[in-house]
Amino acid sequence: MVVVDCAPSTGVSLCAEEPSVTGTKFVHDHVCGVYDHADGFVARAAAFLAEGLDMGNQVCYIRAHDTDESADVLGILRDAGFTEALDSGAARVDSLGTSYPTASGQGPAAQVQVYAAATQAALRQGYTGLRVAAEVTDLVSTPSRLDAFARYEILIDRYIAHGPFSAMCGYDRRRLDDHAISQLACLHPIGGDDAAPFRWHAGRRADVRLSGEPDSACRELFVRVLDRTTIELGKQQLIIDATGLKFVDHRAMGALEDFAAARRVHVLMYTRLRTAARIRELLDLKYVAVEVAQ
Amino acid sequence: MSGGQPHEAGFYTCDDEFRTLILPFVEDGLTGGEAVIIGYDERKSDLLRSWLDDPSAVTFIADRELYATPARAIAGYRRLAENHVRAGAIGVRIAGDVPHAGNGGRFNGWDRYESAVNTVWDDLPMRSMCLYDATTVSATVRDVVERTHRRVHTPAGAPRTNNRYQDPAEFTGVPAEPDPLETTPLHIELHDPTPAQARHAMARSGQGFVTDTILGELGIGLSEAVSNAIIHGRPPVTVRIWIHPGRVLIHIHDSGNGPTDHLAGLIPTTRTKSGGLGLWVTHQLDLDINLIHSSGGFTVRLRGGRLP
Repeated sequence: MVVVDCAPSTGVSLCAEEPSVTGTKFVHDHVCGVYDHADGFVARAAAFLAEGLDMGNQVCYIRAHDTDESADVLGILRDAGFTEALDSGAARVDSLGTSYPTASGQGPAAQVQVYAAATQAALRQGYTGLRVAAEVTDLVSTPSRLDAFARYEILIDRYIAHGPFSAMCGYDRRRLDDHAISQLACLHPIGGDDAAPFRWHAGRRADVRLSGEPDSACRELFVRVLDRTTIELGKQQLIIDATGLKFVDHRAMGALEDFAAARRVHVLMYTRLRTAARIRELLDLKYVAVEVAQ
Repeated sequence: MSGGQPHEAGFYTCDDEFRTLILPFVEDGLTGGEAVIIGYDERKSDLLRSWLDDPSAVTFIADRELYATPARAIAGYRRLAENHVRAGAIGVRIAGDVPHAGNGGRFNGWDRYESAVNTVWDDLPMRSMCLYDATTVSATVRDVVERTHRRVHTPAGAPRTNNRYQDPAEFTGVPAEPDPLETTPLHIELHDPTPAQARHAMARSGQGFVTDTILGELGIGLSEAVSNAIIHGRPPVTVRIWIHPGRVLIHIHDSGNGPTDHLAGLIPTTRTKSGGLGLWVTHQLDLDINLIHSSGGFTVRLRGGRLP
């Protein structure tokens, strides 16, 4: 017999997650870069941006407001081999204030337009796209800022899924609690594995991709994510690719029903979980249909 | 005393006596403009058809899934009754076979069903007749029948008022039968797991011993039970899992008192979609479930796969 004490103080966890990745080889590159050491994030960001340079992207590191930790970003990047790119303009370093001019209140959609315009500018200059690594902890440092930025993350993720723009978002674990980090990690397709019990983000062939295990322990988080998700005006059906869903309970299915009903949209969920279809049937959901993929 | 819809029982020893008890119930209903829904096995349904002038007037349910679990039977009959009422029926009569060893089934959980149906359809014009073969029914089942029906019919004469009837709020069910797996070594014991930790441990342990479908349903039941223990119970929460080829048995224990609602799990606790339905969803699945109250706390026992 195996006896396991799962109490948090013992540090035992039966939930081995996939290790976080620093670089990516995915097309939908929207990475959650949770870190607990400033130099560690810059190094990961450098690897991410170097990959972008290899693909012909223009790349940009966006540093936090001037602090002692961010002062040597340029030095770190030059040491990482970015000198030629920095000199040619293929790589640059910007500040939060320059890259997020809408942070003070013009709304999430306006910020998406800032990056859309910057991406188009990069394309006009002959680059294949724009890749950004941004230390954005300051933009989520209060509940209201976090709410606004989370809504932006959902919108920019849709742009990333279909456009030549990619991003790594740096969140400092020393300044944000687990509750805050989980609200952000779950909106990214990759990264922050230990903070994302589920993921909700754009799909390439579906409107949304839902994966992981939304259950009672993260019900509030799931409802909050749904609340922050806007639907395009006039859209009548939302396709959810849930083939990566490993568990779902009646709370999550009920929350999806409430979400769809409030937005007057019909959800069609594709999943491998027969239990999702069973729960849908038991709850007699009107706005959520489930197709079980083989 | 709560509840109001007529829920009566009867005992018979042969087909003739069965006919004496069921035929007036069905024919009086049809004559009175009520819908009649029959959930018997094929043999008894065929017998009844042969005795009726117009068997097409009766709804015979051939789907044995109706009696797959007590909660499913309650929900299934409710749906059928609501459909008939919407279609204009002034009342609905139901009769069917509660599973027990005497008819090849298992009685576990059906004691609660027999008590619950005295009240769960109070909002509908329903009445039910539960007929048991006296030659095969066990003493335990007979005792439950006598404590859960206000009137008992016999072929010989008028129905008698049953002075052993217990109000559903006062009804004491049959203690859960011990399972031989519980005397074997535990496969894994978890202390204060999250729902996810419990699910993962169970899935890893049970892989290859039962089908993925059963593992999936056990995962739902286990997750709900652990969630309820955390939210409504009292720590510590302990999960014990036994594994055997073709079987998985799980105890989820906390030191609280457990649900006080005698209908817990048999009916949905709310009509909203967002919560409060976990135990009811679990009772709808193809799992064997016991809710066990003891001086040491409360245990949910889940069994998936074949039963002993």
